[in-house]
Amino acid sequence: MPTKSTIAAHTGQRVSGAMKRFMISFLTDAMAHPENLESGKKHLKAYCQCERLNYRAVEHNLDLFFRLLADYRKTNNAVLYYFLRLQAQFCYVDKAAFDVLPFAAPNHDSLPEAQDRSAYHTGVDLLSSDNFGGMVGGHLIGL
Amino acid sequence: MNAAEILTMVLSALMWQKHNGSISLYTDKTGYEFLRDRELLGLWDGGVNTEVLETTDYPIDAEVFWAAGKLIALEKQAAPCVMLDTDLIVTRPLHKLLKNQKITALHPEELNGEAYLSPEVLKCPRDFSFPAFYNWEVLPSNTAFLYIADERFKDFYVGQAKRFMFHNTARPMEMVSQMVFAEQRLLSICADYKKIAIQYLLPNPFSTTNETVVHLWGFKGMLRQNENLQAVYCKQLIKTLGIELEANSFFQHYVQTYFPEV
Repeated sequence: MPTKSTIAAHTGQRVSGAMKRFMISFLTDAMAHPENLESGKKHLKAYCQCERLNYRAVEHNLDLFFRLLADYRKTNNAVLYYFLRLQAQFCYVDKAAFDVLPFAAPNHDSLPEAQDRSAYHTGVDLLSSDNFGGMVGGHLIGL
Repeated sequence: MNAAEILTMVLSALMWQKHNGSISLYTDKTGYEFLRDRELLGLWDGGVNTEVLETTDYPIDAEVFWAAGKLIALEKQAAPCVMLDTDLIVTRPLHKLLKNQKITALHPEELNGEAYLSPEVLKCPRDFSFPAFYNWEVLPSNTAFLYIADERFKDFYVGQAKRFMFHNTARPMEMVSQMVFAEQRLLSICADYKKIAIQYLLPNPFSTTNETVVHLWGFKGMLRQNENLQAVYCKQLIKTLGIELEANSFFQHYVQTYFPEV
């Protein structure tokens, strides 16, 4: 069984200020003009080479960000917003930069109806966006 | 179980071993095969027990009392013991906290009338009546984490739950109220009757001082509806809690096998 850690890959590699600025600009542009996403990836590839980053991993994180963004845009669900913010960090966009990205503010009354029914405990009053959709200790995993 | 629920279960078992000691799993044949197919049987250093749930033949409606397996396992497990749900991760040692305590549960719950029905509305077996000593005012206890020190109390609590669940086949309007009465409200009622104070890990579920517990709880519903959310949750769980298991070869192998893309 392998013992080499893979967790470093998850924990956020340090990148240059230039890379961070590029990623903010890249996300901002692709959010406003989705048609630019693929062409922007050419520049991303060059940045990744300079920063010695695994391009495939960065691309995977970006694709996941945009898929979750598409889900978010359907409902403006506050919990999805929090997780979108987490995913942005995997794309080298920190919380402060994320908060100025151009999309609609979360709707704090938008939890899915099915969530109430599936809760082990049905304290509907406890299920809100303020508690990350019914998760206890969300702050311990960065929410 | 989806990838997020399985990863939570993996971390639940391994983090418990890291901070609190040995852990076993009670499951049935279906659960065993599910885990075997994913090479997860080694997660529980105390072993995986299928005998208890496969051989106990109680007259319990498994659809209504879907968590009765927990109570059957608790009945067979010698006290002192902890019962831990697979969607709950304990992030630090609890030895000092549990020392000299008789009962510790996760947190108190509100007497929400939709989940915790009055005795007049609960469905009961034929010729059943609630004992006069039941105090219906005490707050239920969330038992996703439950420590019981005393064998006699454990037997008393499980006995009361069995008395309510056996031959109780009437269908409620929903599938929550009967189970949470038998498992969570009865625990508090029994403790109240025995004059045992219940200690809680958290004063309320969303306590900002919580440094101990991550519990998926109602969030499971949302995860099940969105695979992208599952993916981000898993990455974040590995990033934050997984770092504690960097030297754990089982966890490393699991991450490499099931999350190769990151």
